[in-house]
Amino acid sequence: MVKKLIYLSLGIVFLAGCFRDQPSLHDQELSIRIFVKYEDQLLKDIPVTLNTNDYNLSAFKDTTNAEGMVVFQNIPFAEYSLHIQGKATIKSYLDSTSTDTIMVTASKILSPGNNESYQDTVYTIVSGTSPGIKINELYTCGPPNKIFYFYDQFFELYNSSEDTVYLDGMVFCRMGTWLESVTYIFQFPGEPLGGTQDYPVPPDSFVVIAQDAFNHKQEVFNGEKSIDLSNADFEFRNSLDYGDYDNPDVPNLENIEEGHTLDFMVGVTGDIILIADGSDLNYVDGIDAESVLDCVEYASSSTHEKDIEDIVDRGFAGVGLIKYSGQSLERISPGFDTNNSTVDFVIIDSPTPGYQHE
Amino acid sequence: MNRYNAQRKSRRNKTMKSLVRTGWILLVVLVMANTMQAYESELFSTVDFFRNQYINGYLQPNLYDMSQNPAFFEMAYPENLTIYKLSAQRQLNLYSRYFDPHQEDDIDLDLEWIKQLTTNSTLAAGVQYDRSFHNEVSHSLEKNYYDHYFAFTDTTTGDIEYQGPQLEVLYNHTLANQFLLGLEIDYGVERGLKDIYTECESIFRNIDLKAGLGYLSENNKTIIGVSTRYFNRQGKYEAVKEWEDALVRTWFGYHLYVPENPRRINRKDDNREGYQFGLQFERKEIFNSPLGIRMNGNYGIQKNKIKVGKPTYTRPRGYWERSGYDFTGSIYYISNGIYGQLFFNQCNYDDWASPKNYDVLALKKDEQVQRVGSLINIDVFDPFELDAGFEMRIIKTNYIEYTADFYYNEGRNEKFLLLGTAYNLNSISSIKLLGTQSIIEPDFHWTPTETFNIFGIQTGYVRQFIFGKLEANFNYQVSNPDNVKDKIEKFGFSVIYRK
Repeated sequence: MVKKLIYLSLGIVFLAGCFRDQPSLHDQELSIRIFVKYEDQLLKDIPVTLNTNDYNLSAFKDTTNAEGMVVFQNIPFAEYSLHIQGKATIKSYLDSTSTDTIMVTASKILSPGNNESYQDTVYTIVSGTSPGIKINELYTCGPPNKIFYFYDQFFELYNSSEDTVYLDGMVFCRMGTWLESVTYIFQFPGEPLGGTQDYPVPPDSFVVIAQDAFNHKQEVFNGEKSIDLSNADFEFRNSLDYGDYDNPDVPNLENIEEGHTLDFMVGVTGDIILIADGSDLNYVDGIDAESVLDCVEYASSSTHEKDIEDIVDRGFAGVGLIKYSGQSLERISPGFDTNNSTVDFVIIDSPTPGYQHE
Repeated sequence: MNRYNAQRKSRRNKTMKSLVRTGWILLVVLVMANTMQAYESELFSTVDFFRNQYINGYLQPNLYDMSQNPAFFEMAYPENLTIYKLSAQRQLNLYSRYFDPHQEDDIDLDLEWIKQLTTNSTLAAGVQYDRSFHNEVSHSLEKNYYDHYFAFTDTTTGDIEYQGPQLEVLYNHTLANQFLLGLEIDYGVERGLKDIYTECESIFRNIDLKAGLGYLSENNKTIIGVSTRYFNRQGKYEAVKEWEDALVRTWFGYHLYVPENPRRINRKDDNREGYQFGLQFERKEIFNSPLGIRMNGNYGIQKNKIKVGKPTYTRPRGYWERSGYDFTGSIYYISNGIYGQLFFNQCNYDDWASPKNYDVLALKKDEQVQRVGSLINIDVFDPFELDAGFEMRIIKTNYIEYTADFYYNEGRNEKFLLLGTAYNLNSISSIKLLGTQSIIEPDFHWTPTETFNIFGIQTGYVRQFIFGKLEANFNYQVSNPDNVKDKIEKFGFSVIYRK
């Protein structure tokens, strides 16, 4: 009898071990406290936004108080992308009695643990510290179709600086995993670094580079879906690809990779795109980080493991991007760049070549 | 054992006429009632006090049907029996919840055999094949979206077909005329396939093991039992892309979802495992009167693990548990020409769920269901008899989705009334007519509807042949929600051969 009781007790203990204890903490009890700084100064009245991909929740928004702190209380436990952008008033470095107003920006991924409070300090940078040519939009996933058509891909550049930038001799690359591995490299016409100045991009203007600059909407889809790229500013062209369409009215970015026979085609929902100033044309050992003007990594999967070095892009865009859906990736505002594509880009329902989505 | 069998047969013969005729009861439910439990093994399957005995030829409620303790099977079904049943049912959901199908068709083929191997051992076996069509299912990839806390949906509306076999084997043995042993194994497989992309395929494998012991007193008036149950369900969903990626969502409760990564195939694994322990007691002929009492109590716990991801690798998405107890008691009266029963049931269970990465409570549900009712059958005059039944349910639900900030704490009532009659045309054939009415207050899923008025009618014809008994039934039921023009209609038929 005693043995039976022992066996029964062991059985109950074993069974109880198969199940979990009910958590004592409820969801919606998370509190996130963020201090926003620029260098050593706490910033007040700065808008802070939290977004999450874990649920279909709206963004949480608030503004820093006089102590440079913002507190989000009673929010769900989830991974959040924090985004900061706003005007900050800071003490002037030249005259300690006066103040300067600057635009600051920052982004960070917040991963709270199982504790109900999470605290962090986020250091902002001055927005537009490195203005210039930005990859503003990537349309890669193709229009809705059943023939695997994605040849209407295009990339949109934007000049976020206050000066005219010349595209002459710059290179546009599709990268492998690292900066050392170049998959495609195409070059704008002209000489880089001011050798020629034939292709100017005025401030606050867009440039569209098409894979093939023709009217995909009309000629392929008979007036439906897709887009008209016949008026693109540039077109990728590989003279070793004898079937590659060439619009005579549109200047070409020519392939400069020896033996490469394909047009500039990138992954529909995942890849790495880079634009560099053209000072490093020796693509065999990769692209020098110093020459990179902008780089965007994108992947549709939230569990994608980041590839390219943080120095050129600290995140990746495009989580949720759907193949052959007509969706596009665009910066949240023209030229907005925190060097983190995770927060810089949004998915838009249809491409906007040459203009910004609303 | 012989003495025991002789007593039972004598008593049974006295009441057989009444019992068989009383079997007209609640055939609306009967036609719908299938052993679907094998596809969705749940804790505390609801005891339907008005069903099931008819198909097996015994109206008298028994401890096996109340407790599912296989040790008591032979006491409930002591004779060889063969049942073949074919039924078809259509339900038109002109009024429905968002994720419900607009039409449901069910076809079931059910074969069951009970064989007395020796005087003290019984073997029962069953094979069932079900085919269901859920048409115009809005977004849901689940057979019943509202039964899941972590449901899978896509962006399309399509038809889903479910089909699969179920097998049941039960062995019952009696030792020294007093000790009863029983073992039951149920196994079922079901495959579902949506007709348009995401062409989601679902496969469910259920195994349900029950074992029980019983003790029968020397005077055959007192029965004590103990039972245990283990069930395991493995569910798998695979939503595939056509040209665009499969875009699916996993819900957390009913108000929040996670958009899953677009990919060629999105897979969800939904595995369930549970245990149940029960105690039973029955006392017949209390103080030598026609009164008897019967009780069953269960405690159970189940866990569900949900994973979502690629076919090659799924990641944890959620976890939920259910635990609780269930108690059923009835007092019955058996006398010549009259059978009556008062019953009571209380089921309390608590659910809680947590999301993938955090040890926090995402949702919680506490539900208490209390049921009281009665059933009476009277031989008014030969060959005419009358059946009447009543049941009332009080349901208290406290459901909280912490993540979505949703709170529901309400009490609801359900009332059910049944009136039936059977008439023996002659010694080999009879007809029946049955009407039911229910008033149900639904839960928040049906908002803003606050009440359903449900009317049902069933008619049938039974004829005894040399080779066995053949029976045909037709049923119709309509559910009218208040303040809504549309309704839910259900109609079907069944053909049963019994020998």
